[in-house]
Order: sequence, then structure tokens, then C-alpha cells
Amino acid sequence: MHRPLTYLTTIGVVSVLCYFFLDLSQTGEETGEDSAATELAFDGYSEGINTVFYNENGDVDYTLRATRQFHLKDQSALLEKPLVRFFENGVSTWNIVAESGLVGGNTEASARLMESIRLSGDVEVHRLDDYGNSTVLSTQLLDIDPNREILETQDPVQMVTASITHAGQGMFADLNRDEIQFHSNNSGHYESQGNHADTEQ
Amino acid sequence: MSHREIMLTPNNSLAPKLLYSLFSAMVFLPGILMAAQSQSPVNWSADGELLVTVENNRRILRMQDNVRISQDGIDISGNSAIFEYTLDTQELLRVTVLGTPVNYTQTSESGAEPVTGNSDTLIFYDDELTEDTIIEMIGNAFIKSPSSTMNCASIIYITEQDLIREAVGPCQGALTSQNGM
Repeated sequence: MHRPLTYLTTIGVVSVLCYFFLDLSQTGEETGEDSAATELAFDGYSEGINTVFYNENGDVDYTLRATRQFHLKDQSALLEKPLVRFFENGVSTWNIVAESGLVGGNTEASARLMESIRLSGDVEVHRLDDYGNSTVLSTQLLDIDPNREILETQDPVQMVTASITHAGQGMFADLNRDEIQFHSNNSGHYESQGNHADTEQ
Repeated sequence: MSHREIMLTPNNSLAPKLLYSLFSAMVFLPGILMAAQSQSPVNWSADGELLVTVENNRRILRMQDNVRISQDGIDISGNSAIFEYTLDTQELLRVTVLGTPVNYTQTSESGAEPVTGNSDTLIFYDDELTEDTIIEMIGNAFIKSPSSTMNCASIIYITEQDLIREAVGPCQGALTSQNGM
């Protein structure tokens, strides 16, 4: 007489336990997801920005473009597809592109807003010299001091010119002095442009 | 393998010229002629810092710590190196390697014994007229080929011809008998 009741009770208890167990594990997963997700609160948004910075003489020093910009609450700005262009005597000298960028931060609010630009994701630094020869530096993370025109990274960097392909670990570049310093693990390759032309033919 | 030793006193002014003549006449080795290295790609590696600058209308690469350079069958190692390129055409003009010492090895496709050498400084570049690869070994220069060994203050060597073009004394050297001498 009591067996069906016992079975039903057992099934009921197991069902309740299963329900709570699944619910708890789902809650746990959601909590984990919440902690892993990066939540950036922004208070401003713009598209197609183009900011021009002038030096003390009133000449264009550099420009900063991006397809989209999110202004964050810590006074920094996230840039999508940024392009930084440095100028000298009105002529564009170095152009830098990346997947994303971060400008300024909450260090000293807006006073230091443009003292550093951190670019990340397929960062490329392009330079065309007076003879029309290009130099391209590629890395995944790059810090720019736009006022001093200095580039820095600890990541691997590759440099490609018409005849030189070089790779090194870490870089410091002074664009004003046209100097590039690779920190370590350097290896490279030179091939004359004549050889390139032969190969292409 | 027997050697015929040629010992020359440091103050003998004929010594370098005599050795130069001997080597120019004898050291051609048909089996060891190298493929033309001019315009061949040059590879390098360095554990330490590498600096790229523009100086006197040239692009300069300075590298240091365990520097290794190779071009075809040539391998050079040293403590530091300076690469000089033209700015307009970006052609490699010359490479200067410093070391304690700079070591030089040149192997041939024929499998003959390699040419080896060392010196305090080594400069290599292409001759403008002949496009031969010139190796200048400066300071305590030593070179050893299958046919000879030579010690001088400095030696200028043509890799494609396995030929010592110039040697500045004091020098001393030894010729092996395999050349029929």
C-alpha cells in the first residue's frame, strides 16, 4: 500500500533536487560570465572623428582619426580603426593605423588626455622617405607619445623596407630623429632590389 | 700532409709582396670556386640591441651581442656589426664586423675544405668594378685555405676567386704541398 507513495515521494524529492541543482549551476555560470565580460561604461559616442593638433608655431603637428570613438567615464576614449598622422613642415611623414586604440585615461584626467595613445591589433607604422622608399613597422601593441613623437612596445616587431626585412623583440622609435631601436632577439635579411626585380620578371 | 714553411721576419719589407705574389699565383683552387656572391641575399642575427639610424646620407644598422652574418657559403660571427646602405636605392654598401676576434668561414659546394680566418675587424663589400665579394681582415688577420695559411697585420681577400689580393705585413705563412710546390 505504501510503495507507490514511497516511489512518488522519492521521484518528487529527486526532481526538486535536480531543479535546484540545475538552477544553481546555471546561476554559477552566469556569474562567471559576468565576471569575465569587460563592461566599459561610456558617456559619449561619435563617428568619423578627425582631430587636428597644432604645435606652438601653429603648424599641424599630428592628426588623429577614427571610424568610431567611445568616450569612457574615466576620461579615456576608445577608438575604432584609428589613424595617427605626424606632420613635418606641413607634409605627412609617419602614418600609423591599428584595429583599435585607447587615448588618455584616468591618471590625471583631461590634462594628460593626449599624452599617450595605445594602439592594438595589427598596428602598422608607415613611412615614405624623400626618395619614395617605404618603411613599414608591424606589431600588435604600440604606445605612442604624440607630443615627443616616440613609439614604444615590448612586443615583437617586424620592419620591412624595399630591401630589408627585420624582426626584433621590443622597440623604441624616435620619429624626430629617424631612429629605431630594437631591444633584442634580432634577425633580418637583405636582398637587393635588383634581385627583387629579377624575381618578379 | 706536409707543409713547406715560409717564415719571414717582421721587418722584411719584401715579405708581404712576396707572399702576395705567391698567393696570387698559386692559391686559385679550381674545385673551390664559389658561386658569385654579389647581389646575393645577406642574413643576420644578433642577441642584443639593434639601432637603425640615418647618418651622412646613409641608412645605418648597428647590432651587438653574438652577431652572426651569412651570405651564400660565407659565415661571419663577431661581437658587433655595422651595416651601411644607400638612402636612395637602399643597396647594401658594406658591412663592418668587430670581435675578439671576428671569425670567418667560407664553404664550397664541392665539399672541399672550407676557408677559415679571423681578425680584430672584418669589412665585406662588393667590388664596384668586378662585383667580386671583398673581405678585408684588419688587425691580427689570419686566413687558412686548403692550400695555405697566412698571418698578417691585414689581408684583403676575394671570396669568389679564393685569392688574397693584398696583405700588409708583418706576415708569415705556410703553403701545403698539395699544389705541387
